[in-house]
Amino acid sequence: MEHSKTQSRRERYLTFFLGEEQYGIAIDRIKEIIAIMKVTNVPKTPEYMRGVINLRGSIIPVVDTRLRFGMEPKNEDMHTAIVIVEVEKVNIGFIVDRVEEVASIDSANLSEPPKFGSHVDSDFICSIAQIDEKVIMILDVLKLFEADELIGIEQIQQTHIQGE
Amino acid sequence: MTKQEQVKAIFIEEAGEIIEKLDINILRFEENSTDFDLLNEIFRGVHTLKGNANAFGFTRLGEFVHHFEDVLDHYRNTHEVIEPEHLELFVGSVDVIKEVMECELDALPNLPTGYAECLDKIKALMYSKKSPQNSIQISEEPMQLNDLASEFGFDDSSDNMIVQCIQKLQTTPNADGACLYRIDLTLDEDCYKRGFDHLLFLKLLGERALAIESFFDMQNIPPLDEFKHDENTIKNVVILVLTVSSYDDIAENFEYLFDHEYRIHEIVPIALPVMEQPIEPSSPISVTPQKEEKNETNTPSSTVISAKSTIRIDTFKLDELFDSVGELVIAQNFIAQNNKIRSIEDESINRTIETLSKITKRIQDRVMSLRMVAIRDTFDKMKRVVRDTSKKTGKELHLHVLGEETEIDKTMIDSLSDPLIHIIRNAIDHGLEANAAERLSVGKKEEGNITLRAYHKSGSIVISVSDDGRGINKEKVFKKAIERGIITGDENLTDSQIFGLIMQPGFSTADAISDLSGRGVGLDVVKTSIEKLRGKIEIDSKEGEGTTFSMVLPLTLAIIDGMLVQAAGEIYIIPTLSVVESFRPERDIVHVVKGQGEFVSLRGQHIPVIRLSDVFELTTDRIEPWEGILVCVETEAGRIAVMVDELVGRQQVVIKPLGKALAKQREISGGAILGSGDIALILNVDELRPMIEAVHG
Repeated sequence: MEHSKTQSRRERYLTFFLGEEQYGIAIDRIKEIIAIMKVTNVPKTPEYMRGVINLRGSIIPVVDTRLRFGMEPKNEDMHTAIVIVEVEKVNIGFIVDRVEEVASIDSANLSEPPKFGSHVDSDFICSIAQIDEKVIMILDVLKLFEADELIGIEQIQQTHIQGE
Repeated sequence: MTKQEQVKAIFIEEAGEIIEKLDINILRFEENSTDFDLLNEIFRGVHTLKGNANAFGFTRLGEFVHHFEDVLDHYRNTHEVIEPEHLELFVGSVDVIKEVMECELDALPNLPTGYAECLDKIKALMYSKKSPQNSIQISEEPMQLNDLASEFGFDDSSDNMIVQCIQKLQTTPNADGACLYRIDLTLDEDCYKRGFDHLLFLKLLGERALAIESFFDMQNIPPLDEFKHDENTIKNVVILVLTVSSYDDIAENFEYLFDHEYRIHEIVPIALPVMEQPIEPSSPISVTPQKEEKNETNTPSSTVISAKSTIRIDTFKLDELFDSVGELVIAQNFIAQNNKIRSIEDESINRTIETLSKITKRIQDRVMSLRMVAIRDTFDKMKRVVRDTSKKTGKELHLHVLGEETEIDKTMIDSLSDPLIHIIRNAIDHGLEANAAERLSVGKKEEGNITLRAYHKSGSIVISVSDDGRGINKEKVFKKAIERGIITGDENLTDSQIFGLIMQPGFSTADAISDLSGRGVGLDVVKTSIEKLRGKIEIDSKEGEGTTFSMVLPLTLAIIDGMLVQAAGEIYIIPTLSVVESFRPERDIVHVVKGQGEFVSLRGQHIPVIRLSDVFELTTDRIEPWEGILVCVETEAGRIAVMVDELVGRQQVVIKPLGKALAKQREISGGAILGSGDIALILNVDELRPMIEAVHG
């Protein structure tokens, strides 16, 4: 995703809110958006792994994005949504506070993320978009998946078994 | 994929199947080398392979198969007794075919090592058989003639008349590019009742065609007193027509007949001079349908097809269908269990819902059965393994195969071959005594016995491999396990636990590492692959009498019968297979050992109690065992009592993976969607035990 080089390439991003901040995910990664539904808790998982949902017959794990980013938990309301993201044929749901819009962002408006001292783990931010007054942080979903061992889990499992 | 590539892919798949079948058949033939029907079948396979190979430019395969076919053809015609060395050559040839096929697929320049040698041997064999063959070829000719005549139900004379007539017509120059057609009618008895008669056809044809000659087979006309006016007794009719109309126009006249009742051949004018050619009945008719020889070889296979018609389906499509049916079942359950719908007191709605559930169940069963295949093919493959292993180890043995008809999930079959091969090799290599002398010295017959068996046992499928060899020496295993640091030696192990040790990683009792087993890949791999199928391996052995490895597998990978339980507000599913009983314990049978946790004494057994809320670190009000329910389950490490709040029910559930993200949850083997749409997690009871041991030190 080299946005900075090409002059006027426009990419579309789904943007959503976590607290006061606006985030974006490249639209081609988004499978669908659903309203928050009953999440079945899976024991012995990190706190941010909220559990699994039944998405029309398939079971999909759901991550509480707020907790993942170390933010305070928030009660669900009518805006709370689950964004289903697909990477390498793996579907994961991300709980977000509110889905905003699909924004078309010119690559010229993207810049490298600064090293923030904010509560957000900056590794997962691949770039920052500045549109008028708004700042949108673009998430690198792949990195997020890898960090949570959501993909490539087989290898980890194997070493786990061998290690026993 | 281009059309050409598609066709090629089909060929490759087909060739693979033919070769697989050859492999099996040649072994069966080796056992009974007088079964010439089988040899015929082998020949047909080779013949098809030859045609296909040449058509796709696999000339090296084609060349080899061509010579192999010659040899087979010789034996199949002469019914000569086949010498053992030649049998061996046949088996070897099939091997070469397999290897050449692989070379062709990968477009390797080098041929397999055995190729030239095997081909030379075949050629030499053929050469030695050549001289007496001439006479056979001659005797074959009239055979074909007879076949042709009998096929049409004519005697030689009438057939010759037809042929002569054709030739006469051909010599007369025909105008305007008119074509000659030969129409063969084989009318059924009841054709008059269906409104057709011979004259009608002739009349209709007369409107479109010229120069009609017709031959009627009058042989079967009964005497006048037996004659029935409404029954057709002139079944075979041959009509020759000269026409400018197209094939389709002619065919149109007969379109109301059954397909088998008429055949139209275009007779292509052949080059002059005609009369100089020997009068051979089949040659002037340039037959549009298949050649006679090919017909002969194809007939048996085509009858097989009509008897059991099959269709190839991509397993991926089948899986999709299966998934959809799974969803259908869930949706149907939702309707059946929905309180609002239930409260509707309308008989027709209730009846419809009931019908729906019946249909759904039926669809589910049928889709399930699509995935089930007999284990026969896998067992057939194993025969080869047994044979090869027996040759390599030099151990004479008998293979007994039982329960080949047992059906098993297709996806499971694919992952079953490797473990099975491993166990079989292990049984022959390590299980059986090293040589005949050793067997004789303990009073056994020289030849060892290996039994391959598949059967159903209480909702599971068991596939077992038994040998009548040395059996497992428990002490040797025990010592070795201590040596390898697998156990400390303090444990009090049962027999089956000791036998289980040989499947631990890094364990091998073989004194010498042979070519066949002991390559570092031990039985632990077998164990893991069987566990992946949600099965388990049981080992039973008596020293001096033999060993049995049993793979206990679920009927299907996709559905289990589950007991729904509730603990700490969540619903969990315990596979009914492992449930022994469930009960609310009396207060006085529950004991608490300080630091050792809780256990119940049941009929003299002391069973540890496992609280789901502890294992899963759930926060809940702590209740006492006698306030809840204990579900007693059988695990690898013995019985445990899982404590739950209450029992919810029992249900067939479709197992769904939780996704890769949660795959490392060993205590949970998957999830299932309940009728309400909620997800319930399926417990892996075998993994509950280590937890409690860890907790209690």
